[in-house]
Amino acid sequence: MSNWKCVHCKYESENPYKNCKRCNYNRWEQEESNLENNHWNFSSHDDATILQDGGQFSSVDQESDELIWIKDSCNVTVQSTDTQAAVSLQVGLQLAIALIISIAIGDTIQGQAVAQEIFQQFNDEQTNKQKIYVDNSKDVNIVTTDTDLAVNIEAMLQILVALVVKLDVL
Amino acid sequence: MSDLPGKPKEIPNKVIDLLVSDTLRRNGINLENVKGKLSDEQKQALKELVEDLTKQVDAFVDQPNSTKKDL
Repeated sequence: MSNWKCVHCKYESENPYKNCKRCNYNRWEQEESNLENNHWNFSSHDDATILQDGGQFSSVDQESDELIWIKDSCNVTVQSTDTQAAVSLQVGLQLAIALIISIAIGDTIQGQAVAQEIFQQFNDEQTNKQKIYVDNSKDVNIVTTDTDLAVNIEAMLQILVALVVKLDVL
Repeated sequence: MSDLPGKPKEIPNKVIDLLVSDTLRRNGINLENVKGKLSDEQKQALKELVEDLTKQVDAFVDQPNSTKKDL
């Protein structure tokens, strides 16, 4: 059995101490050995903890661009929906679905899996862009509605109601 | 943001029903066991919650919270 050598300064030692006495380095090698395990490295022997949680997001990425340009016109009426209200409604529905699952099934692995799978159905990305130009006009009525979001919200309500009916709440 | 006003098409209830049933079944949840677990108070609270959200969604879909400007 040969001596251990410090990787840095080649200081020889019979035992691989934590740090080299001469240069304070903490890696040692053993030249005459082909074993894989002939390196000592004290700096990376932390106990490994593997943690996997069930975090999956219901990411609804939504972007709406709206530009309405009115020029040289009179008596123009514009009506556009407020998408922010819809977003908070959607969050309310998501919370309600999670709550019902948590109460009825319990905060178990099963319950979490069900919630996760249901929310996965809603992972959608949506980009809406719209430009409206009104030029040299009179008596124009513009109505814009964010229908995609409305469909999403209705679907979530349907899921909520279906869950509640199945769990015999209503 | 469509310029077509009017109520959007709903997803058929059958689809939703199947989706929920299938998700529950695949995770090995027996509905009969779950039903007895809820107390009457919890049922009542959940019922009110769902009714409230239904109202909100209906209000949003039927009469969008709109801003109207006369220019």
